[in-house]
Amino acid sequence: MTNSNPLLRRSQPARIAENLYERFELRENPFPDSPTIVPDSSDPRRNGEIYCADLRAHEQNQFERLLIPRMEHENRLIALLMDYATRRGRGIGKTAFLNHQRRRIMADLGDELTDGAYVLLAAHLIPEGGGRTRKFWQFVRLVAQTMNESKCISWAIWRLRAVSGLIPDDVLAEVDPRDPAPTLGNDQWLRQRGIEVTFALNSTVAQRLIEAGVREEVARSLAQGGHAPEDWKRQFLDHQTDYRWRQEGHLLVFDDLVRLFQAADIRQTLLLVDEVEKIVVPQNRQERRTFVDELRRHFVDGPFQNVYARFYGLLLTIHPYVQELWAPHWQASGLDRVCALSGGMSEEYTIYFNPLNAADAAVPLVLAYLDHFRIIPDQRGQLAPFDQESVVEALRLSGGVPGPMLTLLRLVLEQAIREGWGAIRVDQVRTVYETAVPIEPLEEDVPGRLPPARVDLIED
Amino acid sequence: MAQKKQWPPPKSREVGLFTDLTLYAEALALAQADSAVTVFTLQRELGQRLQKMRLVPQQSERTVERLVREMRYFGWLQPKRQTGEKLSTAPHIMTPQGLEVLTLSHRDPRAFRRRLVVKMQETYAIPGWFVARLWQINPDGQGEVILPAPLPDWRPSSRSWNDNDWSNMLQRQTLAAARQSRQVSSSAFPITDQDWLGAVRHVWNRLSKLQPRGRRKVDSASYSPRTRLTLAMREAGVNLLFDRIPYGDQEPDFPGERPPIYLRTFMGWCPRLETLELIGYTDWHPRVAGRLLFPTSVFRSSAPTSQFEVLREVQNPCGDSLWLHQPKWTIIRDKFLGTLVSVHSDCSAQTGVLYVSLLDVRDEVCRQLRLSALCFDRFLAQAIKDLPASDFPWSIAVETDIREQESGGAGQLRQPVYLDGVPHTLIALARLPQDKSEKGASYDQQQPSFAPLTAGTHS
Repeated sequence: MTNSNPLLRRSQPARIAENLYERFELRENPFPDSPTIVPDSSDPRRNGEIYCADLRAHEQNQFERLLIPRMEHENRLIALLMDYATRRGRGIGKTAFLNHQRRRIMADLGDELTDGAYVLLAAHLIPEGGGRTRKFWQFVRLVAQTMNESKCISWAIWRLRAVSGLIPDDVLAEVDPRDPAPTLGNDQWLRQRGIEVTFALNSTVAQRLIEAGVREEVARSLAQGGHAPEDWKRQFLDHQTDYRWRQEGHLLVFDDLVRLFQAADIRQTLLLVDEVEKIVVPQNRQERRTFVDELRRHFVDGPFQNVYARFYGLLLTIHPYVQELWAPHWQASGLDRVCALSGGMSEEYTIYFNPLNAADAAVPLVLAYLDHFRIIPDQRGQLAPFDQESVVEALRLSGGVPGPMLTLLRLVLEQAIREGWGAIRVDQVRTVYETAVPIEPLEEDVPGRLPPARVDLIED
Repeated sequence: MAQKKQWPPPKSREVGLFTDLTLYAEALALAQADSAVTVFTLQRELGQRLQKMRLVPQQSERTVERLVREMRYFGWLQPKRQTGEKLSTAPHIMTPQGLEVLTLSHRDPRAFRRRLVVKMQETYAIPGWFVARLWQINPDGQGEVILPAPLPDWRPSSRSWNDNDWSNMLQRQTLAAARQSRQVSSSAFPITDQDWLGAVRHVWNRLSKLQPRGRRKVDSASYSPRTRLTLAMREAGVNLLFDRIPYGDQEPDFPGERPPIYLRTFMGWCPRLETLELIGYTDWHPRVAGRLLFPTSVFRSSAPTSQFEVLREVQNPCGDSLWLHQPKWTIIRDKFLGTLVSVHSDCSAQTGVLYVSLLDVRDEVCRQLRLSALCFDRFLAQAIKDLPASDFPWSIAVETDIREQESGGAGQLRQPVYLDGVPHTLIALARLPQDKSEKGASYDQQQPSFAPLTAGTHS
């Protein structure tokens, strides 16, 4: 291409910007500009990669006790994660927590968590708002889509391919057991190693699924495209109409896919449902009753493979308002015998999420972010340019809610760059807090007192 | 213990809930011109008018019926024939008292308004009682009262008609509204949380049992939780604060069992009493969620006539007369200008612009000085007319521009400020540069003859 024609002018490579944060020994501002978790993001500040597990060690223990199957005890079919910080605004860390648990499980399919006893999968579901997940069939569709995107279905197909008998051991030896996607999930890669994919491998997998009880149409679709989430979405999921989801979606999720996972020797899949209020709040009373009844039918006592095998574990993230909306329906459906939503027994089924104690949590939380962006590895473990008092104050000002705290610290660092601060202490944190527009409202606005009357109609 | 003296029972409870009091004079004028009028002819011939910010092309039949009924009570109209004909069709003629009042309305509109107060007091007993009740609710706060409403940032989505259970969310909003009212004015809402919650919940449950209006079926109908809670709070507030027995008291104000006013009549009385210069109120104070009311009159045994105008025909059960706060310009001038500057400054600081809502400024100035809206219009016109003033180095600019938030919906319900008969809605004040001939004194160091008063200063 010539440079003379402006129509053909090419973009120039981006200039390497000066690292303003270098004087703080940081590669860039370590705090996210929007502290919400976006799992697919490449930014470690936003995709949950940076996570301080120590802060929620107690909650993590509860999670494992309630939902992870062990040889010595069975897990709960349904459990709850209660957000007790809603009045302080969003950003308590629920999504980060759930994302972290999903990553732990999917990292080795639950090997470490179950001491090698079981094979587990996990999917983190975030319902659509605006009433688009009000109906149970819409929730079922969300389950199917999310399990596909989270590679739960892919893992099952990869495992079935691995045990099909059609892939030689030397080829299997090339597969990374932590990430089979580029190998067992890549038909081209398999063909290059002499595997007949279409007529042999896929047929064998499909036959295996049919024998396991999966409906033929679904079995063939899974065998053909289930190894790659994008393929199965394009070939199968996108073609399912709303009508089909209403009529047969529950059969797909609670029968066919359960049989798929069982055929792949997967013991359980955890469904970690975030922001349940997006499902419940837009519902009317009848819809809430129906939804809860459907939950019971498909998870507790209905005629589904999921019920017979106790396959899916369900964690529902709620807060007190949702609890109150659901309580009468939960009781009426009998689900309170399976999972107490309220009352004294609810502690046996609930993980409680409270605001963090600033004195205990601030330092490890901030260190997790700072360490990730240190230029020199030896600098890790240091709070500079902050000190303990300033980070504790930042979390205290944020009401013990990590989200607003991270936003505040990002703004503080930016201000430090602009103002040329050498170190960041409590006063600077307070200054920025008082001038910054709070993104996460902590309390309702407190209006000032009205000036009193300037006249006295009694005495004047 | 002496028994509490009570107000006399009203002669009628059928108060016309129209709020445009110019209808009386115009109806009487039509009766004079046509020798006899009916509801139908009045409805046809009463001209279109600007009510607040809304053009009303024609009065409804119900409004005109109520107008005629009321003027019959006042003795200004009477049926032409004593045949027991229905009010809606019977021709009516003006009485001699009606002619006198009509003449008064042309000659002295203020005196006409005073006559209306007397007539309404004689007929309904509410005007004086309402003022006395405000003072009784908040004697330390100069009668200022707040009826809370849900906070502005609570915007729940619509719910199905059957989804109407009283929830913790509703409870939180109800308590938050009460809390905010006490925060802005500590004695203006003296209801306990328990009583408030119980009253609002009771009304909510009653409203929830109603059927949807029109032909909507229950299964497909929906409602706005915010609207319903607002209505519930308003009704609960009226029931608690304007019942026949004052809140926290034991003795009723009226004989009998019926409350003096209900929510529907309360909503009609507030604009009436404001036009009659007995009270001021606003639903749009930027710091108050709900209705803020304050009296611009008081029952006293005596008062300086330089600041008050007496209505001896309106007395409370103790025999004190009603005194309307009507200060002379020369008395109130400095305080008015100081308050105007101060309030404008506050509004400008909050909005970040120089031209702010004149209606907001008026409401707050009237609240601080316990002036009627008519007084404010008069004083502002006088202040502008007196410019430039050597002891008031400010410019005042008023405009008739309609801001977006005032152009539709609730914004149309606010009375504009009338200056020379023209409605105005925006005001800007700017300090003028000082005279350079005053050597040795910088602009900031010069003190005008008055200074914006600090809060709490009384005359």
